[in-house]
Amino acid sequence: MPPTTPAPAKGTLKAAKPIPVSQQLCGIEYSPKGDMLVAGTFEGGIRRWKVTPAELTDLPPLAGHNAWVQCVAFDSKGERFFSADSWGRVNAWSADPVQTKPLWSVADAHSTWIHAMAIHPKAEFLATAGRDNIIRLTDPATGKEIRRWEAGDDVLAMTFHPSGLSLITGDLHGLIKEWDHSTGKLKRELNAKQMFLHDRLQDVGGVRCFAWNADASMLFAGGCQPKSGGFVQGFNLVIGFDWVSGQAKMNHKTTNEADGYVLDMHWNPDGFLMAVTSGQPGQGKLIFLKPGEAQPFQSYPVPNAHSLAIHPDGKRLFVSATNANSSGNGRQLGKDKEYPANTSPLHGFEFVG
Amino acid sequence: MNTKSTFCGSNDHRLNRRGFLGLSAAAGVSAFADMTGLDALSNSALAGELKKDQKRVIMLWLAGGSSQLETFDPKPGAPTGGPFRSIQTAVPGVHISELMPKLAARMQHTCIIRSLNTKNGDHGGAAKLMMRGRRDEAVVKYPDLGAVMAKEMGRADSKVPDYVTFYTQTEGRMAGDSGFLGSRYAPMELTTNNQPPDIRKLDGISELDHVQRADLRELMSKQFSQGRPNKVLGSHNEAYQRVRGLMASEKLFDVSQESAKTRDLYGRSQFGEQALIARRLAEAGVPFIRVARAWWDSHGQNFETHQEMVPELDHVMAALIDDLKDRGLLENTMIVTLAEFGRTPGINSSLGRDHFASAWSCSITGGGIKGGVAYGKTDANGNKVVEGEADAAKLYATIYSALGINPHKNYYLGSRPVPLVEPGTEAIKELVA
Amino acid sequence: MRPNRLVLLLATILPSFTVAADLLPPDRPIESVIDHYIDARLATSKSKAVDQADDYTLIRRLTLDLVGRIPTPAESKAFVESKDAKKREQLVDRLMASGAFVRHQANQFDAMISGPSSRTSGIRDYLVKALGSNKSWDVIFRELLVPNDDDAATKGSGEYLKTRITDLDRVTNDVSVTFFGVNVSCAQCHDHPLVQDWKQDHFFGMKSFFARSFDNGGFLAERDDATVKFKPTKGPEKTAKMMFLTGKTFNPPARKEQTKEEEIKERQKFEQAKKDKKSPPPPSFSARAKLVEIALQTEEAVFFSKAISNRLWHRFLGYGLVMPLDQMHSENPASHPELLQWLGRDMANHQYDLRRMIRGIVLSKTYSRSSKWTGDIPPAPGVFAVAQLKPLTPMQLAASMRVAVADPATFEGKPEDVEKRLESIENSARGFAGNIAAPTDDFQIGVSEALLFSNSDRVEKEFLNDGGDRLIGKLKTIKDPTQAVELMISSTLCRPATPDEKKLLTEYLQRRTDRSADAQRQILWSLLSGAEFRFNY
Repeated sequence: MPPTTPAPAKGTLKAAKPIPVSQQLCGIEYSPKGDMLVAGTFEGGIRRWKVTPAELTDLPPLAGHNAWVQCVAFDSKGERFFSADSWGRVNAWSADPVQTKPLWSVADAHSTWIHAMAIHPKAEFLATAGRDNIIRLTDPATGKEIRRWEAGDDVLAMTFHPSGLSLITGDLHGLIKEWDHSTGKLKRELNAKQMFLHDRLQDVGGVRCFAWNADASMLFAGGCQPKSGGFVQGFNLVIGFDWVSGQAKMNHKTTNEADGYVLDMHWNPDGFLMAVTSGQPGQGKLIFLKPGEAQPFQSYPVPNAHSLAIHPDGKRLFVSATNANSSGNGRQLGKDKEYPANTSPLHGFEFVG
Repeated sequence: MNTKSTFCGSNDHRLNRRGFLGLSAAAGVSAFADMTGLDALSNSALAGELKKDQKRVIMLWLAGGSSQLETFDPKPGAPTGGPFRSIQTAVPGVHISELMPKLAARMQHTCIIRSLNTKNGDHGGAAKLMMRGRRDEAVVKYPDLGAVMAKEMGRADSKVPDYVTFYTQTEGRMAGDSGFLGSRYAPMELTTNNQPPDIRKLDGISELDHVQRADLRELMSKQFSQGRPNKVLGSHNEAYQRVRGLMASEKLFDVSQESAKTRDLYGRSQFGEQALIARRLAEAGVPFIRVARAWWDSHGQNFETHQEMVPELDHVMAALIDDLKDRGLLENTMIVTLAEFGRTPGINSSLGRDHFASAWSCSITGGGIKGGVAYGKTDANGNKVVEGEADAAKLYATIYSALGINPHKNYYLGSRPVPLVEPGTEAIKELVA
Repeated sequence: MRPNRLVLLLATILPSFTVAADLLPPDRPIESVIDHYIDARLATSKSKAVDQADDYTLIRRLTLDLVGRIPTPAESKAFVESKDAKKREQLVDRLMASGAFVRHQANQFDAMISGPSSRTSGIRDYLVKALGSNKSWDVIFRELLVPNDDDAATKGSGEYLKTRITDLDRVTNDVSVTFFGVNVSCAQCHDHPLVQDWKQDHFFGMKSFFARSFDNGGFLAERDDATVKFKPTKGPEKTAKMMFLTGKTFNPPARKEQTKEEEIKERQKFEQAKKDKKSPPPPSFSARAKLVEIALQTEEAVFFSKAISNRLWHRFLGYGLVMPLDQMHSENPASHPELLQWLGRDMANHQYDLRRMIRGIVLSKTYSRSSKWTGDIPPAPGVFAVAQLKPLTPMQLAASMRVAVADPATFEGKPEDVEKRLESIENSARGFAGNIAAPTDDFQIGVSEALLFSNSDRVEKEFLNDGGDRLIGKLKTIKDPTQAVELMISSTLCRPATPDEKKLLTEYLQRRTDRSADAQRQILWSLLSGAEFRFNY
């Protein structure tokens, strides 16, 4: 989630030709200045692109992670960004495209997979959480641990309140917890249990992403209402909570069980949510959703979208997706008699007019 | 004592029968006493206690297809490797997924085969193949491993079942199948709970009447059997002769007979409890028990699924290994951890992995298998087998050899010889202890 | 002298060298031909045939074999008491004229064609229609191999290929096994190791007839072209010729090289049919139809006619003239080669009339022998000196149990009403039949059946309840225990009780006068679960 609020979007949305990327990507993020796009990969790396209105230019990739780099986030000034991987490492990087060495690196910030990361609005804290059920508060300047406490569950999504007064986590079992991060004390819990299902002896679902509206009076939680485990089927689900009362005021659920998860979303100052959905193979969408309306007012197919980056000018956005034919039993050997690798094309969109 | 005239050999039973035949026993005896030697088979087998080298198999069936990359053949750092790390095991140089720390610590007892190429990536067909090691032909329906074990290691008069299968979930449920060996070797199937079907007497009939109506049945059936020597008829009478013994085995299925400590060792999950029952059964002499755990078919969210299910598998495997070892049973009890296939190294758009039978893994522990071995190799991304390729037939030849069953022995279907494994297939010698 | 003695010896041990001209004349009744050949063989062996089965056993055997259930007490009584010299023929004709005959034979053919544990019903539905309208075996063969999905009259026949066509090796072998009595699967990888007759050329030759067929969105389709290539054990890769089991080859009409456009057009044709959910257009030349045509030609039909004769023989006698049923080749000769040859010729001469053959078999003395051997060591089953026990099929068992536990009075009345009642009994038996294993080669009954009978409340509720139309209900009205025993035995075992049985069972009842209804149920249970009930003997 970008810490800055993009300018209002106007006009109609035009899709650009998807840009091929030779790897599978996890999260993508714009720099607050809008001049750089970064993405974590499945291969322990970070990809960077220089952004101009006309094109994306590859910058040297960053090494120093292992396996999946699911979380990337800039601080509000845009001088640094942070990344976290599935082996438990957190790195800090300079936003200067020439720098390829981490500012600091903590190999064992967590004992295992880091699922969620959030940066404090004033960049006082970096929060991370994951499969080890630990919330870790890190000093963004040094990487030093400030505090750690038990989250009580596998945290899948995280955000600071825009006031910077509390930290909010969303977990596998559909609980949203508000924490006093200065003490690690739990302040209250909000219920999003619709996002969880125990099916076929498996835990399925969980809160996958958060967004705030412009005045932070509403917190939106995104995920799905699972229908079955195994081959996960579920309906898109976004629940909007009135932040003061903690009451759920909005409940957007789609009718197609193949829609899957809402995996990333952002608030548009024009008063709607922009979200991407995972879907079953070949499906998935970019949707625009007004609180209170049953159906998205706009919807664009983007196969198996998993992350959404909004340019600070509010006019441009990128959705990272997955190449077609990435799914399939057995897989077919390619022309070179090798199994083809999967990739994540970047789908660019622009509001014109 | 003439064991021939009673069906279970117990004194109580003999008295019961006299009870209903009463004073006029003479009449009954004149008509019915000269029974044919139908139960000769049972008598010959009655002789021995459980043979020392009698092998048993506990199969943990990972229905739906578990991922080799998140279990036995991790590829950390590869684009296909997924989010998890690998860890060093107790055997130097052998690494497995970080999701299996307990098995890693017991690796010296276990062998991993990383080079399965079994070609079939369709649930039904692949499950049949991997449970049998052979593909059915039009007229030859092959028995699965359980039925072969029931035939090889079971005893005609056994008071416990020969072949038990747990499959509580419905996904991919595949019944055990004795193929051409026939229903004599068909399994006792548990699908709804941990109590076998029809093992408990109905309340409407007293214990005594239940026994005596069975005596009546047997008496008249044997009368009919005179002058009609026939294998099917023999199996019919034998099946009824086993009923009372099997009913007595009911408590083997009751985990509450175990101490809290043992139950905690296995965990109070369904899978854990069924594994514990499997151990109880193996200990009582049941030659084959399958515990199926579904549903590993993680086309979506493969990593979350495995993050949740592999530690459970790890725990259950470790508990079985420890418990069998403590009881001195590991040498003669083989734990086979197997699925119908593995999963694609490629991570699909739903962050899942799809069916993949070209390069995948299984594990075998105990019962004549050499522990501490990782056999075979796949390439850097896990796409292909590069060393020690094994198909289903080779896997089965290895299992049979380790169990002391000659994989090349023939069964006879009428006059047709049917070799146990595909002709020309040899066991993996390195794995047979 | 020596060579002559060898010839003599060969002639005695290999009686199969008889030529067709030496066969009994084609116009002799089937039953008398059967008995002639079987008796001739018996005369040369040490074995002597047992006596004919008694009338109670015979009507039970015929009723189970022809209509799939035990006879009602009234049927048994009428048959046994009849003095009519033609009573056996009359019984056979009455049973074969009934709807139950069609339904039971459809079950039997379905198990033979689809496999014993098939779960689909399409083929059985088709067979009920086909056998009901007296379709001959060659017509059924054609309709299964060249089905027409658009023809309501043969609906369901397409299921045979549809469920197999995705696996061409399987379809090739299944068709060879079922219709020609030949298993060529070993010849898939190499020339058959044990049987000189079967080469790889045969397997791939047969496969070539199916190679053009494929599944097109749930409909069977056939292209105009497709070749089968295989790698022989020696030498370079070969393109298979369409070749029947006799070695007869066929060259399909040559097809001119297709342009890209034509190829695309053809593909679109199938895609469109798939979209429209319709059967695709037929090929200009059907290789499958050609296979049917070739298989029924005079020289080639020997496989087809002998295979069905052997299978019918096996169904009614419990043991084939050739065993195993799919091993009909020169190195596994029939026990009675002339008989099989005669039966095959008779099949072909009479347009593969199944009814005619079935009637002939069940009227033979060979069929009606007792199943009880009184001597020391019973003879091999292949000499047919004594009747074989046949375990009941799931439907035979379940339907018979239903008949046995009914109040016998409910089977008295107008024949058409009784027929209707029996049909509804048959339908209600289907559920329970699903719990029983279907007999296969080397069948054995498992402990799950014994447990089911011993402890399932399903057996209790379905068969031992005391409803008004039930035997148990009727027994309540009978005060005399011996009379009750007689009724139970005649209803279940289709014969009168022996004095010993009367004594034993009466005593069983008398010792339980405090719970006489329970005791009756226990006796009924022991009869239904007993060996005598479980088999067609």
